[in-house]
Amino acid sequence: MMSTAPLDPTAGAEGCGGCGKGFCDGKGRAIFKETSWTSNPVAVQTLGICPALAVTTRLENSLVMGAAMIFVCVGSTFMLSLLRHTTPRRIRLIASVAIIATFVILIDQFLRAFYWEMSRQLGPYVGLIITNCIVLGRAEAFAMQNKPQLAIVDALAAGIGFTTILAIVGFFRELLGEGTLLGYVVLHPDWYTKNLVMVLAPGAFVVMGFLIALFNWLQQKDVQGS
Amino acid sequence: MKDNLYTLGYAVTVGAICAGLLTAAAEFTAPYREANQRADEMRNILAVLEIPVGPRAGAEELTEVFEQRVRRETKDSLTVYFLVGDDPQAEPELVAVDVVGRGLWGPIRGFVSLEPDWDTIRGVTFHDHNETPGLGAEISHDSFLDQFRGKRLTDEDGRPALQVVSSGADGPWQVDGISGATITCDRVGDLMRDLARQIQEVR
Repeated sequence: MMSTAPLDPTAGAEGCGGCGKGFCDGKGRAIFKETSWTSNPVAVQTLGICPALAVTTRLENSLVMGAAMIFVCVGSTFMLSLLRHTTPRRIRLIASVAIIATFVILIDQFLRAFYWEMSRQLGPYVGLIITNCIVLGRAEAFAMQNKPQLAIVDALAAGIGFTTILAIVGFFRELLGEGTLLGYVVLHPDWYTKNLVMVLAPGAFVVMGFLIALFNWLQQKDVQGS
Repeated sequence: MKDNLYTLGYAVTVGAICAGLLTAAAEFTAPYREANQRADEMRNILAVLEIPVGPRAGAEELTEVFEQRVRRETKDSLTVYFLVGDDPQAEPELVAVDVVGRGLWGPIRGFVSLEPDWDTIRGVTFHDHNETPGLGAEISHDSFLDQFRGKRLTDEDGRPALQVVSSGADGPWQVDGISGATITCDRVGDLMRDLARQIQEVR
């Protein structure tokens, strides 16, 4: 029903009759859908492929990586949006990266202290969120031009979109590759032969390929339907 | 000019705030991270001493098992971990020593467990190294490490003799290396022969 929600702030008000004005005159929902679904950072924009391939061997790893990503994305874009009028243009990028890096190191330290085993399995990929195109992309393309509330919605949408894709890839890779889900045995080794391809990087490419195809198909249907 | 000053001031302020936050976070998490590192070390020692612990055992459980079953002693440059059996007075049936050596890109750290003769190897782990992923880093994989079981550090005349050879390992003093990781493998050999010398010095 919100597929045609306009980005125009005045039009959203009556479109959301039952639930009041919605977030920022209904703008929030439209932004959320746009960033998390219509232009999903991984499946549509194909950004953040590196962690999507590297850490998705297990569902748990995918979820923790996604949570770290949401934290960094929301925290840094909120700060950048707050500072958007005071940041000198010449050092805009450096300031962005410094703030993003701060959030990344905070979450990295947190994982090392309280989630050691996971931190070892994720290896360098938590630290590499600093260079993740999704975070910097949302910061540059959205947070720099919009109010902090909207920046949070947008970042949350990007983070959730990212996490969902990682979780789906992680779900299939862990299930088919190791026969477990979140560490619990689902496909018993007595009658299920573990699929090594799914454990290795090519498995992630295969699952990602199917996912991107699915996204294209669904969104094409969406366009034709409306 | 005013513009430049503003930019400079802004950069300094952002930098200072970020640095302050990170310092606080590092200070706050330091004890936890150190505890995790110690637990990790204990897990490795327990593994070479063949004391079973659950893969998800936390720091407290590891410390408890470690204090019960392992006695630590420092002999000169060598740190030795004795496996304590049911009878604490009996000769330890397994000893582990901590080894450090030069790798290709950085130090290689690990533990070697030895039979009571202080010469026959039971198990080896390398828990900390910076070797090339996919090549030298394979030294911490079981397929490489399992070869060391039953090998001997010194030959009949007591000279350090263990070697990592490129192929066709034969007898109790040779293990097969990893193709594409010649330097790393040579260094592992050096490390083992150094260990043999160190053991001779302290015994």
